[in-house]
Amino acid sequence: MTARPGTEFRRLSDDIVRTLDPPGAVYYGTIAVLLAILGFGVYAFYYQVQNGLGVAGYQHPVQWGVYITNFVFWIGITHSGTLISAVLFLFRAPWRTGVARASEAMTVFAIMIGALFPIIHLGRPYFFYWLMPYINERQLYVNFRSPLIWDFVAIMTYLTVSVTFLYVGLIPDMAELQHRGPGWRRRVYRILSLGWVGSDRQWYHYMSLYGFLAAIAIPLAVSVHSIVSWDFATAITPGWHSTIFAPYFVSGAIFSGVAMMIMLLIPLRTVFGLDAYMTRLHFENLGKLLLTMSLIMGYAYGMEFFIAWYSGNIFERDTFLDRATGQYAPFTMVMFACNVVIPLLLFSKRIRTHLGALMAIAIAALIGMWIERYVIVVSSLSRGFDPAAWGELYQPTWVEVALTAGSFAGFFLLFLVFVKVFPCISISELKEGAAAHSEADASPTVVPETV
Amino acid sequence: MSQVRILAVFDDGAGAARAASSVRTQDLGEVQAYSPTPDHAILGALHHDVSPIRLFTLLGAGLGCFLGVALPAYTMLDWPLITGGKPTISIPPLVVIGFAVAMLLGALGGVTGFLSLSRLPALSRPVLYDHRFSEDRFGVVVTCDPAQADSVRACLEQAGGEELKEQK
Repeated sequence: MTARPGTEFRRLSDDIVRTLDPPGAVYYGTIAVLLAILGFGVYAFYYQVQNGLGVAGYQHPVQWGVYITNFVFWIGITHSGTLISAVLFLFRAPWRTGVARASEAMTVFAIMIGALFPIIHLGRPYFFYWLMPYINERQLYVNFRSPLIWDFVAIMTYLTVSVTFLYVGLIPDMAELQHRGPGWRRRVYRILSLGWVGSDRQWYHYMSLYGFLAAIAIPLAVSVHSIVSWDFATAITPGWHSTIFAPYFVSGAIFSGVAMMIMLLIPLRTVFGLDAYMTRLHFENLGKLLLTMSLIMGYAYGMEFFIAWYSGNIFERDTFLDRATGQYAPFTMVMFACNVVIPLLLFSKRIRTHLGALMAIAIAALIGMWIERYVIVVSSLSRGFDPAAWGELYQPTWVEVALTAGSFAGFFLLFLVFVKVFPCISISELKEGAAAHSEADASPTVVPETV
Repeated sequence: MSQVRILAVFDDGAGAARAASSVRTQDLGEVQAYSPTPDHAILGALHHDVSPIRLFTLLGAGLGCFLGVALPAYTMLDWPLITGGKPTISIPPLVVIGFAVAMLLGALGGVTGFLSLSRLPALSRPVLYDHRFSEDRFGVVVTCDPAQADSVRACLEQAGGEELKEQK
């Protein structure tokens, strides 16, 4: 017999509210390590501001390096959180609940980290606000023809919409946590809940708003990484000037975003004991998505080389020949292995339902995608039109490495703090699923353990 | 004549939906329901039209599209950057900026509509509100004439309502 909804609701709330309990020494230890790495990254940035961009490994003609690689990588990571959450919401996929909240948070933090890198990359980073479209003292606006301005507008829009999507989803949970949350945080939850009482009028408008935000987030997510790709594609540099860059970047972004989702969700499930809410079915579905995107990536890589040969453009052909056989060839090989070859293992159901194996493949995919961005940015610049300008191998300095490590530390730090302050699974959506199951007299668990 | 408010607490959404529907059908008073999760039966019983949030979203998106096209176009005319015989106003930037700002203001318009229509932020709780309605219980509050109070109570109890409370 199925428990009555009220009882079931209480059990679900207890399970999720438990994740907000005071953490142990391991949590604080991890936070301390991440803070130390982040602190070193901040010091590296201070050092760079003091001494100028020369402390980075830039050397002509490679004037975009690790910072822009990090920018494109992190903006790519954003693409699976809000996007997948929104797509699954619009399709009413029942397995969405287990993965949506953490993924949306992942998106927000990845945008926050990614958006810092164009600023870090600036010679005078304190003038970053010149990107904003306001009229300056010389009565001039920004040049809207520049893809860098498109980037600014698109990324700020995506950040705003993603934060809104995450926050709106949190409101009903905040209303509950103001009575059930731990300690002083109840006051914070009360303020954040905006006085939500769950009246029929509020739910009625809430459902409508949530649907519209989801519908807005999908084309927006696709447009953002298309625009990031146009930073490159609108330049005439061989290796960048390609019409397939927008879909190529978007599919790569979803690929890396899914990999990051898997990498975050598996430890989250294990540490908080959320096996009933993040089942193997969730991870199998994410594994299938990762495999699908990997196949698309493989096709895109193949097409890039094919177009370079078939177009008859000697500059393009030479760039790709160099990418495959030149000084950056090892990176290209690792990129192919991580993004195309290793994910093929996911064709095996046994592998994609084994969380350890899935985690290893996801980490490989993340490494592969970072290297892919590196190959696109650096190897293309290193082989421009003029052979006389071809320089030495670009080598990142400790400053770039520290800032890169700091970005990862900052991202994981924000995520760790988030999952201890806010419920990592939507309580109200869990209850909605439980109520639906209760009506059907079925198991109250949102998604059955099928594997 | 002063109105009376009657609250009934329900263990599930189906009972609350039955009560809301019954009171509404018999036109006994104004119904307000509370639930910890969106309950489609309750929403179906009390709301038959489409939420005007879509209008707020549309207006926001329309305004955003206009501003996202008009501002870049104005700047291109205000300080022409004529390069290689290309048109003074080039279309691609207008499409990109127009789309992004349309999405931005569409989302913010929807949120504005949601906050105003849902009367949020609210500094005080509604009369007879019980915090369990955000946790594990459903509530139906009926505002009616005192003459109808007995019929409303009967209706709520018949639908499975418990802990009936009344405020005049």
